[in-house]
Amino acid sequence: MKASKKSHMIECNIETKRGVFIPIAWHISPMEDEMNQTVGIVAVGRDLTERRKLETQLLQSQKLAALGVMAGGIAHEIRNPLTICSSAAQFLRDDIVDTDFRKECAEKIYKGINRISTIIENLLKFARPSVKSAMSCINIISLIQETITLVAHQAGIQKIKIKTSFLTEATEVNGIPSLLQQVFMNLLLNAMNAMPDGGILDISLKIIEDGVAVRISDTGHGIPKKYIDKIFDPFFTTSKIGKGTGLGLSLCYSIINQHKGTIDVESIEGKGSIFTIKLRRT
Amino acid sequence: MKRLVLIVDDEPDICWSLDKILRDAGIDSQKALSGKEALTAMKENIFRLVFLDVKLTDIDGLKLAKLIQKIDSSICIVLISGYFYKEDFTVKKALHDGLISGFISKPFRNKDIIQTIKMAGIL
Repeated sequence: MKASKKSHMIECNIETKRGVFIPIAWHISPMEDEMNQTVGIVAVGRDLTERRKLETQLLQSQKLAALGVMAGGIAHEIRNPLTICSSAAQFLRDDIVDTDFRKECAEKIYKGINRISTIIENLLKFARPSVKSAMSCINIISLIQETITLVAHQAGIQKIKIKTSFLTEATEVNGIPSLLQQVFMNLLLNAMNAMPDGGILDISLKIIEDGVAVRISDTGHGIPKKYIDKIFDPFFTTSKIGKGTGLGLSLCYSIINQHKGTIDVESIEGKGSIFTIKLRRT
Repeated sequence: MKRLVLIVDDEPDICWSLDKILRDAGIDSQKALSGKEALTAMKENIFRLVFLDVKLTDIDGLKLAKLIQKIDSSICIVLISGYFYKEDFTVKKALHDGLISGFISKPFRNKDIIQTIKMAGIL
């Protein structure tokens, strides 16, 4: 401080006589004489106890709100296929049914059970992502290219032009290939769903300070401003029934978080969205 | 059969199930997969009862109930939902306000649907 003559902010606890720790934010500035020599410091401490309490309360209320969204989402997403299964089973139990109708009921029960099972599996993946030991060194560009291959045919049908720009060759990150592929697949499919009448899907990768940044942009309908903060919440969806459970992006978030990376979104309604994933290099 | 019941649900298989229950009871129904389709149906036909889902893709079910009541104030609206439960404040208020005549939780018993249409005086 003596050399730089700059003010500093630090946070540290102080212990009271009763042994209670109080969080304090210290703002420390140099005190100078007429010759601009630092002769002392002025330290102003601010008690953060109340602020920490409020932050904890806010976190708790956010958790409760998320739980509320999840409970509503689970109820809606699971009870619909349950209703179909239940109703079809009652038809089979109560009525004398012909073979075709029996098959129709059985098919609906089977589909309903699969739908519920997929939702539960996604929930489990969200709550308990795979273990760290499965991490390996992977070529992220190959992984993205493989994922693009899987959606390229559908993109062609939807008149979507796929552009790629990878400004580097082999780039390795530490990760779980199947999970990262799931993230890219989700993002590519979301982008394609946002462009039902065609458009441009642009995937690029560049090296950043300590890792890589993958950018997936589309020219689709975009995300309304009021939804931007909610899109990574479990069960938040604007898709039609059966088209999306609202778990895709929350899973992406959970997976990227597990890889100690970040996922961000920018969007302009009517113009398109850009998802940026940052991952650490090995 | 007279077209007496309107089924509003964006899940086609729920409509399939309700339609089958009603058909077996000798009641013709019409399905609407969105709020927009429901309002068009309301303007084109006269219904005695509406089975209405809460979570539609284009409009909130309770908002739609208000619009349906504006078109036909004598219509009987029964909410069918997996999102709410019977003692939910929103459901109680909608019943108290007379916006809906009944509430059925998903998954339902097929006989509860028959019971509801009996109570509405259709059977």
